[in-house]
Amino acid sequence: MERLYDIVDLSFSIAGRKILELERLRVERRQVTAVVGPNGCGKSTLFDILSFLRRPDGGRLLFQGRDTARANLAPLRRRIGYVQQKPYLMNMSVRDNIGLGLKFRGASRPAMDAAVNGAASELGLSPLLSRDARKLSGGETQKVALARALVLQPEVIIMDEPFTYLDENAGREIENWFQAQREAREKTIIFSAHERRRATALSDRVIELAPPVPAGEPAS
Amino acid sequence: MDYFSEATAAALRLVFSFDKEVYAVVWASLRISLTAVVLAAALGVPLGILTVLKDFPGKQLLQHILNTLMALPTVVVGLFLYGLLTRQGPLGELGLLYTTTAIIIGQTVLILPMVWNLSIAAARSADPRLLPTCQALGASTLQQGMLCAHEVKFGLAAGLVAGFGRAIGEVGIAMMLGGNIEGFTRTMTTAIALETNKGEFEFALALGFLLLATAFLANFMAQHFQRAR
Repeated sequence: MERLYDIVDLSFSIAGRKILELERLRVERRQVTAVVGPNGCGKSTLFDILSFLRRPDGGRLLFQGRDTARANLAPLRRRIGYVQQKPYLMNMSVRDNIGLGLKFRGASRPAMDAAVNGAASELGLSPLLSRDARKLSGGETQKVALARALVLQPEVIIMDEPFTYLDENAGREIENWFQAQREAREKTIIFSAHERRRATALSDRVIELAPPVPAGEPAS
Repeated sequence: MDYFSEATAAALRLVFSFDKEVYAVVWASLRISLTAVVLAAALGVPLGILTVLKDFPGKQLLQHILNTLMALPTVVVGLFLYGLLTRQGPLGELGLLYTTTAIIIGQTVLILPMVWNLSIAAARSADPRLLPTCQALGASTLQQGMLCAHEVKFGLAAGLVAGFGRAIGEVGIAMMLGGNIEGFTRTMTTAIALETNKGEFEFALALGFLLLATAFLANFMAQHFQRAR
């Protein structure tokens, strides 16, 4: 197994309040890793850090064995596909939303269309391509955000609470996608879920995240 | 009262008969102020978005300065630029004083802080998830700025309309830098002041109605953009 992320004594605070505290975390390549924990334990912050959108203010984060403390984060970000808990879709069509990252990378129109059509077909979004992205349901929004990340062919897919806003059908579709990815073993996937049952069923490994201990209190 | 109602009727006749002289002044005003808005937009909108995207020392101070400059008196801008553009001034050799270019420069300087500041407000009104989403998709700072402008375009447009309203209604800059030369640098506001002094109240009133209509239209558009946000 090749190690992708290696975290040691990671911490992150906002205005002096500790948001995240993590002693050790290893994520292996091409594994599906689930992160569970109560509200406020710092899952979203951890995912922001793993996506290189934030720098931790304590500890070490190694990516493929290299310390990222002083690394330029922009090229690292391009290797991650991040789907946030409540994804933000731009005020444009579903097609343009899915192709946005490719546009940022200067992809040609035919290459963009081919990639967008492929990802849309994989996630059952083809009939929605010309729709206004702001008028989609929660499940459709989640799938468009996933397609937008997938077209970039990232090495890692990070999904923050992908099931929270999904109805039963949409949840099952995303579950099927997870199972297919797990069998294909092509990507490293990290996701968070409220339900431990789901996390266990869909992942190779479950990591429990505890809320940070407030200053002055002994760790349990 | 008779004098006023007769003058009003005569002014409305001038407006609705599309009097050439009246409308020549209106077009000159629109041309000057719209050019100033385009120039202020070209500078103020990117600066406003960049101010939101980037953290730099003195950001708070810049915000205070922009807030103060939004209430800049037009005669102060006129006076300052007059000093630069007059024959004895450092830019006197350009021969810009008493030209429409001078008024355009003055109006651009006048409304730039407003357009800049309102662009900051518009960019700040964007959904907080916008920038992290752009960054996660690998956007450069320029691409983030372009997308931010796309997402808050109605707020930006409202800022430009407000800038236009300030430019079209000012009199100090047009008078001091334009010189109120008929058929050349005469704008609606300077013409109103001059014609009233000359006793041509009907002509001034006709321009007043048209200035009011322009301001109303600009305000209507600003409200439309605010609602569309």
